[in-house]
Amino acid sequence: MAGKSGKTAFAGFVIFTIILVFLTAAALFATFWFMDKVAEGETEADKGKTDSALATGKPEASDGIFGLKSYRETYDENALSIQQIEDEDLTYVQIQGLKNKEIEEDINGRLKALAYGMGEKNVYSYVSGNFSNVLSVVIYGGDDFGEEKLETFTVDLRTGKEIPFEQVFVSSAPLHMFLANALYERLAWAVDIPEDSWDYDFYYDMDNRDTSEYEDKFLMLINRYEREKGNIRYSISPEGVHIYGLTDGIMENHTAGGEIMIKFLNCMEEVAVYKRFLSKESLFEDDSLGQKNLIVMTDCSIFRESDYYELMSCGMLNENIFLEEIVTNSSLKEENKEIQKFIERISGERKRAVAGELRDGQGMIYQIRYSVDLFEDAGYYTIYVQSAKAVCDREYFQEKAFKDYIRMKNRGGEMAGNMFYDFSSTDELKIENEYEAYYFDLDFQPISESEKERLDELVFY
Amino acid sequence: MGKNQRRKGRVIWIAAGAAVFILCIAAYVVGAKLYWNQKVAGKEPLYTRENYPKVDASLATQPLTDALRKEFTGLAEFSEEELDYTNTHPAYLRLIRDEVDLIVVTEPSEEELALAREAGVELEVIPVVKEGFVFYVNSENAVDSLTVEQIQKIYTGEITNWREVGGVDAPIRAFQRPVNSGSQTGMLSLVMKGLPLMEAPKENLVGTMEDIINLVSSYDNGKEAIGYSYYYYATTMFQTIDADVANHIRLLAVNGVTPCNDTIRDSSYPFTTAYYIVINKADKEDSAARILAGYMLSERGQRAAEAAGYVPVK
Repeated sequence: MAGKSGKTAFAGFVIFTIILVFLTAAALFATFWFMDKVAEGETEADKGKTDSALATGKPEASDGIFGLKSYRETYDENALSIQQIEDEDLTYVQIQGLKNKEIEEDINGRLKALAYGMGEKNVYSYVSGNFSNVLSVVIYGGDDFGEEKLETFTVDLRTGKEIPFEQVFVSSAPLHMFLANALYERLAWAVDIPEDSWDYDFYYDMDNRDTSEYEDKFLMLINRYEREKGNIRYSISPEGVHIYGLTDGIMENHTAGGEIMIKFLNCMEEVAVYKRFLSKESLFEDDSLGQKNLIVMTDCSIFRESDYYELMSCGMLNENIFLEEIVTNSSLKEENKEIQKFIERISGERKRAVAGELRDGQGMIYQIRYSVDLFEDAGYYTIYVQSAKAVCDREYFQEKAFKDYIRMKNRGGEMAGNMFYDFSSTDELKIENEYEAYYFDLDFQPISESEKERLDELVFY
Repeated sequence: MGKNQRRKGRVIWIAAGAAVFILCIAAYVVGAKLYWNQKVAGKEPLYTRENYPKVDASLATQPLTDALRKEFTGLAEFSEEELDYTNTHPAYLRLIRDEVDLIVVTEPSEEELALAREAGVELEVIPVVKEGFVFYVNSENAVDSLTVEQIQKIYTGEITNWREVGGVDAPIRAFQRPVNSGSQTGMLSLVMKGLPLMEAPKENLVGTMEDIINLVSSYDNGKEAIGYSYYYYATTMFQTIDADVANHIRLLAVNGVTPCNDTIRDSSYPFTTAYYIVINKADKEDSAARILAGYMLSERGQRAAEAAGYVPVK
């Protein structure tokens, strides 16, 4: 009996021991797993401290959504009213027109504080980008000793939060390569000898330059970028990102200074700034402000800031026609409703005509420039209509011609009127130029050319 | 008696059970503590900002020394004064003049060895991370591997058509770099090994790595091209060589071995070299330089190096 109970007790002890050992092992494994998670969490947190707010390099699902897919996509300028407030030797930017007044006041407060933070003398602020719910402002100033300072402020108008440099691009964008390419362009443009030197032209040619140190320069730039991540000073424009300060010491002997630019044209699919910050509902009180449906990567600020030019249209007339219309001496146009009506009528006729004449399988770039002038003494107006059509196969249009056109415009810094100079007729691309002149008296009644010449003679003699 | 015996027996079993229970608890506590020490306590700072040794580095190794400094101090940011870097040659000069404790650079040149000898300094050169020299082609190129001999013959001008190495019938555009550029130096020392490089036609001699990468990856004229670079440089430029954005170029296997962290680490990839810790051989075992070198070569240091994009030696 005793032997039997002893055996039972022994068996119970063994089972108890096995269960305890098993539970201990399970508890240990669970603890190890938990510790691994804690350690990983710390590593990630550490990483967060050293990296910027947004990791780059790994593709995210959103990359396909935010990246541009075509050179023919469009963007809207923000429907904001922008003022430059002057206070003696200092200017700062203020915005008006956001529905959310709290965010508007906050942004205005920070813009003002940034300007005054630069000192109170020789401080100038300007808007470099104002589109797709993003506002980008540059503030620069100098002290009495010629020391220059620069601050940038690029903000998401939906939230009022500053946008980290990396969010301008999709998360998988090769930013190192973009930065190196941007530096290369700067180095290529900046010939490190005086422009009046006899061998300037020789060294302007990249083939004649010693570029063996460029690799080092790229590494210097990338090392610096990695160290300063999160504090990169940059501004955006529709054409690209301007980065300041990163090249100090790398390009000190170059006339181009310490600014480099990543052109969106060179990395279209990785550009996220046009789409990342869009909202379902408009953020603005009056949506009629600002240009709409502008072609991405083209900057129309020249027209916004100029009294002389006005952009009428810059976009796809239909799938196969890119149309660009500008008016010169636009203030004259605005003053005279008759001139405005006339230009709109001509514009409508031309658009209908080109849409009708383009054959299936063709594409076209179409420029029209209306030049309006008033000769008050002689008593007449002239309206010159210059136009250029570049026609090619539809495939060539979509793959090459349109892209080249945008690229050239960005290089020239002007929207229209360059086709006569930039493009030449080739087997693929046929260019036709047209020129028409219209004359009106001061009551805006049409007059003939001979009547106009008669009026000229009256004044001349 | 029977009752007492049973009671005694029960007490013994209970005591034995309690002992097992206590042993299991103790095993759990000790096991968990050891594991925690290994996992987390191993990340405790080894230095402060103030007592970190003086380090210099080449441009290609500055991110490595940054990463190790962060790892060993637990700090995230440093001032420019703390990151007092120059570049390879000036770093050697500073080490020889005893202005820094340790440098992380490429191996010393004859000139640097001579300068050290003149100053009565013997340099100790210790590999800290490995590096590979890689060749790349357009992703549409049918060739995905070349032998060392084929590469040498392409660059001496003996092989001029992709058909000769298993590709399509198209001329090879073999890009080269300017003399004295880092990549050209690597090409001569690691690949050509005394063989004469053919004279590159002007259109095949490009100034920068970006030019080569862009030309090789371009749709129009890149399909016939081949370019070269250091593995770290190429991966740094592309951030990650396998990312979608880099899908227009492909790294070539050499002798059937694809360059990657593992094949560069174990030297099965034919063109490998290293970046080195260089210290003064006279430094004592407990010197700041040797202690830091030991940390850099420890498992923790090597993990940090790998996280920074380098190929560990261990």
